[in-house]
Amino acid sequence: MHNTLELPSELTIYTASATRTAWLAWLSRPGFNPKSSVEIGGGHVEDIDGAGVQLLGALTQSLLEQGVAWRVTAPTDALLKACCALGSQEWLAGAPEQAGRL
Amino acid sequence: MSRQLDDTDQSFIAEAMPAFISEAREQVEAIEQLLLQLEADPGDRELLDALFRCAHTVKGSAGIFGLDKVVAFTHHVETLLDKLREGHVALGPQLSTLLLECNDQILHLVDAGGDEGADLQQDAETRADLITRLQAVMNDATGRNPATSTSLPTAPADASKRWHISAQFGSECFRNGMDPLSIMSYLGSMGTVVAIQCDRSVIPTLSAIDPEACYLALELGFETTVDRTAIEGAFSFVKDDCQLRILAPPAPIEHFVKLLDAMPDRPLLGDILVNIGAITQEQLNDGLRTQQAARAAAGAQAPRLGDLLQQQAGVAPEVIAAALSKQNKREGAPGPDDNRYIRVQADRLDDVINLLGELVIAGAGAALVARQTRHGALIEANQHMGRLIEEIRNGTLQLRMVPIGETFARFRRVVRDTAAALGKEVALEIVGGDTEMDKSVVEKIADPLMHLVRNGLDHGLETPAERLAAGKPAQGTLALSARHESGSILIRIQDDGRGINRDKVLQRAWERGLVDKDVVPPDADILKLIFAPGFSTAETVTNLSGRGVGMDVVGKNIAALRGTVTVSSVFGAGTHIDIRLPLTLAIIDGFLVAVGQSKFIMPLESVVEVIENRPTATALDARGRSVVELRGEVLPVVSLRTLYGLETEVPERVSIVVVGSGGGKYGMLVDTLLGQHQTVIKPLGRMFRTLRGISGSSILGNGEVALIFDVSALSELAMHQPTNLSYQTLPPSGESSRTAHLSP
Repeated sequence: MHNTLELPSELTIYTASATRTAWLAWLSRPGFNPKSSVEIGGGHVEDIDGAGVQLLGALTQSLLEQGVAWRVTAPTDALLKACCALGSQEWLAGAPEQAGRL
Repeated sequence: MSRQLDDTDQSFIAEAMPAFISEAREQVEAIEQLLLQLEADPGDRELLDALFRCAHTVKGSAGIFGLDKVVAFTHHVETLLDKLREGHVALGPQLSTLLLECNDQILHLVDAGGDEGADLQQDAETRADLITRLQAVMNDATGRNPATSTSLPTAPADASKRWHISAQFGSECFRNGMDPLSIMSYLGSMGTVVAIQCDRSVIPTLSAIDPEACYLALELGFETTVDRTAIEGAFSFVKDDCQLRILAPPAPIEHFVKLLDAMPDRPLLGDILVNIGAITQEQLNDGLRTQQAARAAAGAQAPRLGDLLQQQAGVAPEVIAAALSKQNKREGAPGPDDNRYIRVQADRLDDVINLLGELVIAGAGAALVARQTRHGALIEANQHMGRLIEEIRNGTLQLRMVPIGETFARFRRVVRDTAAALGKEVALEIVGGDTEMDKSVVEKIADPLMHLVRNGLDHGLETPAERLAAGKPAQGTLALSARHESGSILIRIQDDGRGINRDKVLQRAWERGLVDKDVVPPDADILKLIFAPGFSTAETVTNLSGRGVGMDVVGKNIAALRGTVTVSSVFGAGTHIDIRLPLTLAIIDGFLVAVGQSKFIMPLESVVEVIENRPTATALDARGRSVVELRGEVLPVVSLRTLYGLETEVPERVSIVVVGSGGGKYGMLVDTLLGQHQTVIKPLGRMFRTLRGISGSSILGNGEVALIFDVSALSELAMHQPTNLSYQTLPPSGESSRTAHLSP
C-alpha cells in the first residue's frame, strides 16, 4: 500500500512556508506508514521556482532519513525542467545513486 | 541588484563616497593615458591589461557604492576592452576615440556620484549612443576573423570551451528576490550546460529547513564560447550572495604559464593570477579574507595565499608555482607590505604643515633665547632640536611633492582632440615629467597651462598646408618641459609654429589703448602685452581661444603662485613661454640679510655667492641700480636701501649677495649677512601685494617680520643696465670675496 502525496500546482517561494507546514503534517499524520513507499504525484505542478525545487529536496531528505522509498509520478514539464535545470532530477527518480554526474 | 540600505550602510556610503570619487577619477585618468599610449603601440599587452584592470576597478568600486549607472555603462566598455585584450578587436584611431568618449561619460557619472539631478537626459542619450557604437564594434568582431593588426595571441572566436562552475548560493538569495533557476536559465542562453548536479547533502530535512532560505549549491560543466567575465556576468546579480568558482577549460595550465612568461614582473601573487584570468578579483578577495582570518586566529601559522587559492578557487598547482616564480624573479622586489600607499586627506597634511611652520618659528625663537643666555648646553640642545626640526620639515614637505608629469600627461588628450578639431597635425613632447613640485602648486598651475597649450594649438601652430608652404614639416611640435632652476621650477611651453607677429601685437595694443599711439616699447615689452586684459590678435573668435580672456588670467594666476611668466618668440619659427614657479608655497631654506633694521630673505638656492665687506662707494641711479665688475664680468647690482626707500644710516662697508635667476646673475647690496634661515612663508597683506620684487613675508624667531624676495621679479629691476654709471672693479679674489657654502 503506497502513501500518496500530491504536489501542489504552485511550488514557489511564496507558498514554500505553507507547503512545508502541510508536508510536515502529512508526514506525521496517523495514517502515514513509514514501511511503505511514497508516491509523490507531480502531475499538477504548473509553477515552480528554485525554492520549490529545494523544498522538494528537503522532502526527499526527510524520506531518506526515515528510510522511506519514494518516487515521483507523472511529473509535469515545468517540474521536470526545473529539476533538470538545477541538477536535481535524481530527486524525481527516487534513486539518488543513479543521478546524473559531471 | 538593488538592495534596501539601512542607516549604517548609507552613513558608510556618504563618508566613503569622496574617497571613491577621488580614486575613480584617478582610474579614469589612467584609462585616458593608457588609451593614448595604446594609439602609439596598439599591441602592447601590458597596456591593454592595465586598461582592462582600470575599467574593472571603476566598475567594481562603483558597484559597492550602488552607482548602478556607472556599473552598467562601464560593463559595456569593459566587455569591449576584454575583446581587445583577447585580440578579437583591433584598436584603431576610431575605436580609440570611441573609448575616450566612453571614458568621458564614466567620468561624468563618477563625478555625479549618484546624484540623479547631475545626470541629464542628454547625457543618457549620449551613453545610449555610445553603447550602440560599442555593440556595433563587438558585433563586427564576432562576424570576422580575429584582428590582424595586433600581435596579441588570438583564439578562434567560435572555439567552444568547457568550463567548470561551482556556485554556492547564499542564504538570503531567495529573500533578495533572486532565483538560481533564473540564473541557470540565463546561463543556458550563453552556452550549453552539459552536466549539472545539486549538492543534496547541504539541503536540510523538511523539519530543519527554513523554506525561504537558500541552500542550493551547484556544480556544473558549461560549454560556451564566451569568456570568464561573461560567465561571471550571469551571476552578477548574486555577486554579493554567492560563492562562485569558475575553473578555466581543462587545458589551461600551459596557457596560463605562457601568459605568465609574457607578463612583466609583478610583485604580488594575487595580482598575477587575476591579471592572467586564473581567478577573479572576488576569488582573490575571498582568499585574502580567509588568510587574514586565519592569521588573526593562528598568528604566524596562517596558510599561504597560494594554498588557499588552490583550495578555494581551484587554481592548478602548476599555475600557482609559475606565478610564485614570476613573483620571486623580481630581484630585490619589495615584499607585499613594502610598497604600500596610504591615502591622506590633503587638509590634514596642510594642517601638519601649518603646525610645522609654527614649530620652525618657535624653534628659531627658542634658539635665539638660548644664544642670549650664553648657556652652552642649552645652545647645543637647541641646535640639536633645530636640526631635527629641519629634518622633519624636509620630510613633511616631501610628502606634498608630486611629479608634474601627471599634469602634463593630461594634455595628451587635449592636444589630440584640439588638433583634430582644428585640422592640424601636432606631436606633443613631454620632457622632465618626473620633476617634482608642491601638490598645491601643481593643482593651481594646471588651468594656466591648459590656456597656454590651447593657445599654442590655436594661434601658434599652423595647418599642415600652411606649414608645408612655409617649408616646415606638416606635423607641428608642441613641447612641454619642466626642470629645476635656481630654487624654482621652470615650465616651458614651446611650439614650432608661426611665432608672434610683433607688428600685429603692437597695432592691436594701440587700437585698444594699451599703449599710447605710435609709442613703440622694447620687444620684450611688446610680447608681454599678450597678457594684458582684453588683448587678442585672433582674427576670429573660436571656442578655443581668441576672446582675449584667458591670457591675462594666466598671468594673474601665475603671479598668485609667486611665479613669473616670460614669452620669447621668433616670428615664423615658433614661441616659447617660460613659467617660473616656487618649489613650495610653505617653507623654504632662506638666506637672511639686513639693511638697517629691515630684514630680507632670499631663497637659499638662488644665492650664488656673497661678497663681504666692501666699500659702500658705488654710484647708483635713482632706482638704486649700478654695476660692478666681478672677475672680469659686469655684474648688475641693486641697492635695497635705495630701491625700497629705507631711511637708515648708510654704513661704511656693505656686502653683495650674488643671486642667479633665469635671466642671469645680479647682486643685492646689503648691510649685514645673517646667514641661512628656515623660512616659513606667510602671505603678504593686501597693502604690500603690489610691492615689486617681494613675494611673501616670514616671522623670525624674535618676532620680527622679514620680507621674502621674488628673485626673478627683482632681477627685472636690477638687470636693466643703468646708464651714465661707470663700472666699479672688485678685487678678483682674496679676503673681501668668498663663495658662500650653500648646502640646504
